[in-house]
Amino acid sequence: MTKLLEMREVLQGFYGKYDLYIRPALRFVTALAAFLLINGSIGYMVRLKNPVVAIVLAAVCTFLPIGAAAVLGALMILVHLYALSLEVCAVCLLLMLLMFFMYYKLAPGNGYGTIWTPVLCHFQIPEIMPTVLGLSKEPYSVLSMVCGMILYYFLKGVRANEALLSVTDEENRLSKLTLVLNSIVGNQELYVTAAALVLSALLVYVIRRQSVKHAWSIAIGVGNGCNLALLLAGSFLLGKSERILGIILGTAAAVLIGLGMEFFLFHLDYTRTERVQFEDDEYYYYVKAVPKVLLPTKKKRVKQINKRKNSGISKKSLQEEFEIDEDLLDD
Amino acid sequence: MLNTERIRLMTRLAAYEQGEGKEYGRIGRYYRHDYVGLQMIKVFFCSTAAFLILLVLSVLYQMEDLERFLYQMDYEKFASGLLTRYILFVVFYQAAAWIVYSLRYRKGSKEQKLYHSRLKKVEKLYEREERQFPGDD
Repeated sequence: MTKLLEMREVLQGFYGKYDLYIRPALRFVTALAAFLLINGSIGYMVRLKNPVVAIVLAAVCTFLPIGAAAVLGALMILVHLYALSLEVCAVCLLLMLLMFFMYYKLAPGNGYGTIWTPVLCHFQIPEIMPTVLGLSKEPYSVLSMVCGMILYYFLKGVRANEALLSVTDEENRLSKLTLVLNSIVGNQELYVTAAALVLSALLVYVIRRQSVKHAWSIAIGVGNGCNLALLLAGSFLLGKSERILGIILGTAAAVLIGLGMEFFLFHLDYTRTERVQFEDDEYYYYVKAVPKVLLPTKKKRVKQINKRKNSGISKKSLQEEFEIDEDLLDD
Repeated sequence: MLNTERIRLMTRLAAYEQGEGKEYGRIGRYYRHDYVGLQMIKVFFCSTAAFLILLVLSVLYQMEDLERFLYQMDYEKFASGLLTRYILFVVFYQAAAWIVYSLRYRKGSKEQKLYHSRLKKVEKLYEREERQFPGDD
C-alpha cells in the first residue's frame, strides 16, 4: 500500500508539474479518437477519410476548448453523411440542433461525456461512462451521455442501411427518412441501455455524496451492480445474448476505473475520523472531518563528507551582496 | 524580492479570470431577476426551436402515412393537442431554466465575492510592499 501511495504522490506531482502539457495532450487524444472513429465507421467522403486530416484537426483541437472538438466532430459527421445522402445529412443536422437546443444551452461544458460515449459504445464498453460521470461530474451530465448514445445508434443505423440509403431514387426518398429515424425511434436496445446507464450514473452520484464510510466504494459497487443487472436483463429480454460477455467485461473495467479514481481523488483514512460540534449566532454545526491518506514527504538530506573549511566572509562576497565598490571595504 | 503569498493569490485570480470567471463576470453585471429572466427568455426561444425540430422529425418519420393521416385528421383536436404539448414542453424548460440559472447566479455571486476579496488582498499586499520598499518596481 505504501508503494501505491508513493506512486500516487509521484503521479500527482507529475500532473501538477506538467498539466500545461497533459491537458492539451488529453484533448488531442480525445479528438483524435473521435475523428478516427468517425472516419472508420462512416467514412463516405474519401478526401476527409485520410488519417492526416484527422490528425491535423485533432492538433487544432489541442489549442481549443473540448467543445471545439465536439463541433468539429459534428461537422465531420455531417460532411460524411452528405456524401452518402442529402436526406440523412439533413436528419442528422436536425438531431444535432435538437440536442443543442434541448440540452447544451442549459448545461454547456460536458464535451468529454459527449465524445467519449460513442467511442466507448464503439468498443462495446459504454458501462464505463456512468461510473466516471457519477464520480466526477454533476447529475445533469448524464444527458451528455444520452446525447452521445443517440448519435452512436443513429450512425450505427446509417451504417447498417448504407446500401439502401446511398441509392439516389426519388421514389424511395421518404422511406429513407423513416428508415434512418427508425434506428433511434424504434431501437429498444438504445432505450434499455440508456435507461440502465442513466440510472446507474445517478445512483453512483447520489451514493458517493452520502456522509457514510467508504461512500465511493459503495457507490461504485452498487452503481455497477445495478448497471450489470439491468443490462443483462435487457440483453435477455431483447434476445441479444452475444452482448453478455461484453457487458460483464465492461462492468469489470468500470469497477477498476472507479476504484482507480477513488484512490486518486478520494482516498481517506476512516480510522482517524473526527466529529466536532460548535455553534455561531445563527447555526449549530455538526462536522465530520475525515483526513486524507497522505505520505509524509521525505526530506532530502545532503551529507558532506569533505566539508569545506569556512574561511570567513570575503570582501568579494560583501561587495556583491551590498553592490558597493570593493575599495570602500579597505578602510 | 518575490512575495509568494501575492503570487499565489494572483495565480488564483488569473486562473479564475481565464476560466469560469468569464461567465461569472457577466453574471455580476446583472441583478438576480434580470439575469434569470434574460436566460429564461433565451431558453424560451431554444425550447420553441427544439419543439419545432421535434415536430419536423416526427412528420418526417411518418411521412409515408402523411396523406392518409391528413385525410382522416380532426384538425381542431390535432391543433389543441399540439398546443397543449407545446405549452407543457415550454413550461418544463422554463422551470428547468429557472432552477439552473438561479443556482448558477448564486454560485457566480459567491465566486465573484471571493474574487473581489482576493483582489483587495493583492492590493493590500502591494501597498505593504510599497511601504517596505518605496520606489522599488
